[in-house]
Amino acid sequence: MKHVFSASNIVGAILLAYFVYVVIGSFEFSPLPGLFPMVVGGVGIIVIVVHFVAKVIRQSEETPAGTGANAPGAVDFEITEDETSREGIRITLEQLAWVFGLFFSLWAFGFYLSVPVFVFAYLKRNGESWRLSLILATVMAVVVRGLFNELLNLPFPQGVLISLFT
Amino acid sequence: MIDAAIQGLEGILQWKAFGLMIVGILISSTLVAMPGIGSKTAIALLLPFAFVLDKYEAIALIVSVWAVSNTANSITAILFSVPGGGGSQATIMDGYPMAKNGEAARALAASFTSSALGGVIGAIVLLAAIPILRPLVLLLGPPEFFMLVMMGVVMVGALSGKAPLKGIAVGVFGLAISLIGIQGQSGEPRYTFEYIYLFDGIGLVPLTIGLFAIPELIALAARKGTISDVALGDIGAGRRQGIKDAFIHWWLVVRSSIVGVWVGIIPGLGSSVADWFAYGHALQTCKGARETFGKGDVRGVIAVDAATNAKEGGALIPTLAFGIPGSSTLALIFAGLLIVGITPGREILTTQLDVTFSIIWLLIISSILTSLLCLAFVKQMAQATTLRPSILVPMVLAMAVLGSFANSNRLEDVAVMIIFGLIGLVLRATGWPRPPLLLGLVLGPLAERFMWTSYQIYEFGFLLRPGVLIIFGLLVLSLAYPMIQKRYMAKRQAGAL
Repeated sequence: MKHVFSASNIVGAILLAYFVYVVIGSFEFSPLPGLFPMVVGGVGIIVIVVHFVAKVIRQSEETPAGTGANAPGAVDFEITEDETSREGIRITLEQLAWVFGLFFSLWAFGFYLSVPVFVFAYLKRNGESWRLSLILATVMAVVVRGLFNELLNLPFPQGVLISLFT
Repeated sequence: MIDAAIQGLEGILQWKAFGLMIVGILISSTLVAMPGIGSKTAIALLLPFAFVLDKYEAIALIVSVWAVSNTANSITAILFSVPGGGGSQATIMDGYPMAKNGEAARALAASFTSSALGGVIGAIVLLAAIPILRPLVLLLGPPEFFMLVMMGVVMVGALSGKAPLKGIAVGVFGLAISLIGIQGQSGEPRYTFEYIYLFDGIGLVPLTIGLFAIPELIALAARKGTISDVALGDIGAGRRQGIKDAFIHWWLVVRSSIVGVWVGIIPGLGSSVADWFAYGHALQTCKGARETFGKGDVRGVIAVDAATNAKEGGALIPTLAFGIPGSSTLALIFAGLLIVGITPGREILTTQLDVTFSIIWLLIISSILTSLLCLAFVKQMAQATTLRPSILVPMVLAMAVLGSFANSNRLEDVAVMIIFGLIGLVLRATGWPRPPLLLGLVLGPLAERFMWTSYQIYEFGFLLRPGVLIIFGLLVLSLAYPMIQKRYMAKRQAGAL
């Protein structure tokens, strides 16, 4: 039962659901634009089903070795024990919070303010000195304003909250 | 022809043209190396200068930016797992693990050297191709192009090591993601939920940054260590070894360069296909690659960087000969040529052959100069892998956000980066390979376009054309080759026992 609800199987099931959605969605299009999505979704469903069947057959023959990116045959970067420890998972969640926090800040306050403030706050939270934090935050402010905005003419949005007050 | 070659060389060796080439190289090696800023942006910025320059000077400036951008793109891919551009996605596969193993200097040096060699080989092929250009490209029609793209899809299996089904499933997921947006031929929106941002499809740059950089940054913070798990050691020795590696594996450099040139010749494929084709080719043909690729094998870096730089020579063939720019960047170069009064096509291969040669010389000289410049700074670059995560994570994340936003200047690009960051994190943690997703995304629109055109011309009869059948045969061979090789090795091992 534990094997059935393994993280890898859940990912497989999500992919299967997505392919089913792609096939069902393909019926809404005209015949020719719908042909390729139908083929892609259909092939995806077949591949996932074959994968699950092969896995069941394999599991009845041998015990699995390794998990995640360390699983046999997975061409990806290897996962270390540090990452899977309780502390590693806590840090992972904290990093995700930083990423989401940065995105919210970009939406609310815009790039000019958010990017340097994010760099400064992250550095200070992780014990870096005031001097280094201020220098690197200033560097990022210059990169955003000078390089991306002035030189490359990137039109950064102002930020929803900022635009309310200007 | 020799006179034109000499005239072309003299043209770009004039002090002003040469100086502008150096400016182009410096811009490309610094600005273009940053994620999200491609050679297209740099060329677009420089294009107005062409109005006040003579033809050699304008060509020197514009072509040098474009010709060497692939070399610089590998820097952030190797050091931080953040692709600098489309052609450096596959560089991450072995370049970043090498940096983690304390071999950043070796990986960078191998990348720069193979890039220079690839650039030179690409230019030589372009030179050799001039007399046979027309029959070469006219030989292939949409059905053959479709089969070539299918051959690329087969690489998905090859990229997935011993878990081909998982790889193919993720590759098909990539194809499914590529369906989002307005269908190119019919103009019909698909899977867009009537949301305008999705009409243009999912951007390759934010997706790639999310899929690779976000999970690696999080892993880096979780490990609490530096990128390099071990001390860097003798950087000078690493640099020497990297240069040597490119020459030791010279045959791989040549083969990968030919793959790159071939991809370049086909309009519309581009760097992001060339690198995966070359990586897949190396994975299938190099001895023991299935055990070592993805863990820091220098051959994975060499194959990719030789191919992406060689591709530029190939890409110039249809641009110069037929006036068909193979990519939007080449369309800008095309515009630059028009500004200085040069029309690609018959003219550039007859009365203005010196211009063609000046471009070929530029490809050679700027490739070599850029690699030398980058090699000179390998030490400083390699030391970036020893920075504390508390410094590296916010800086790289900030650059990743800016790079993603630069894709189409919309905040949704950053959202796409984050969503695919989460998908990458889950795929990585659960043992589903990430690279096939990219390949599927890149090849999806091409496969559909070629299939659509082929069907309209020949209906399903296009599947029986001789060229299609030949490529299909090659496709089956490339699928069967690893299995044959495996069986042969097993037989040999059994014989040895």
